[in-house]
Amino acid sequence: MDALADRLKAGDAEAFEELVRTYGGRLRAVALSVLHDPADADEALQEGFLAAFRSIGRFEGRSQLGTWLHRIVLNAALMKLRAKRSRPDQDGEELLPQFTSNGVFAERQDDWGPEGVEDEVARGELCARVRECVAELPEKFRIPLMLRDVEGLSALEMAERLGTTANAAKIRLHRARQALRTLLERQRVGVAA
Amino acid sequence: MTCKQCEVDVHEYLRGTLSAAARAEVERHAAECSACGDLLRRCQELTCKDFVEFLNDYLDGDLDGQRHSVFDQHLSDCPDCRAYVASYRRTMELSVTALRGELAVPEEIPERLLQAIHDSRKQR
Ligand SMILES: [Zn+2]
Ligand SMILES: [Zn+2]
Repeated sequence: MDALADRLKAGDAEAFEELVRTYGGRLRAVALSVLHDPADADEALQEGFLAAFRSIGRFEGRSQLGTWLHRIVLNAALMKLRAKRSRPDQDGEELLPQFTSNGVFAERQDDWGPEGVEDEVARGELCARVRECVAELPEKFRIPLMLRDVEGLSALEMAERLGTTANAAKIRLHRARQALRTLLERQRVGVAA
Repeated sequence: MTCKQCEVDVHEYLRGTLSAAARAEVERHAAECSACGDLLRRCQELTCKDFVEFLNDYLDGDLDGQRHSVFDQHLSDCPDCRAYVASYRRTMELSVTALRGELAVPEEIPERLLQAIHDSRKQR
């Protein structure tokens, strides 16, 4: 494990400052990329660091300290984005695909078409819109998605973090992807046609 | 009715969108034509709902050999699931790209923000 992580766990005050100095700048950029408002981004960064300080005891060193922090600050920023848009907290079941009683898709499924992103500017905009959709996910979907897609945790590692079984973690991740897929399709993000 | 048309109609038949006359026509054709009869039977044995439920295991290669080939067969039978799988894969890619990308930006944290974080921690 990271030496800095060990010092943090031991409650070393200088280690906290070092942590903020080392990762603060790029994590601020992460928060800004989600929120597009420096004041909001700074708040999210602050909230993220506080959340990290509180949960450092649970950091197991499975991912890099920086990656772990990235996920926490990104989550704080996404939660703030969601709060700003004051979307009601849905349970997310309505984001899963619907089937008829004999198990076929209730709606005919559309082809999303070719990916069709050529330049870097367009890719940046696309990523911003994807993050907005991730922000809309209810927590129970957003967290497993980020554990996998930001931190790259395995099903077993996710299970430990979520306090569940590996199989349940896999199912949650799968449902999270299905829910995100629905949001992307509704908002025509990454959909060519 | 041609088999090509029937392939489309089998899914609409199961979805329940066909008129009574069109339904009867699918049933009549499926009873006579072994290819379309098999297609209808397969789509009832492994439904889209089952396919989607285990889609992650299928993509991860976690299904056993026989079940995997049943899933392969469904994918070649079913335009809805083909479209769904393609969009699910794109969702996976977009999610990783959008969420992982930012760590490389080198930038210093402003001193006042560092101080604010420091102070807020001490308050808790
Ligand atoms: Zn036929
Ligand atoms: Zn299907």
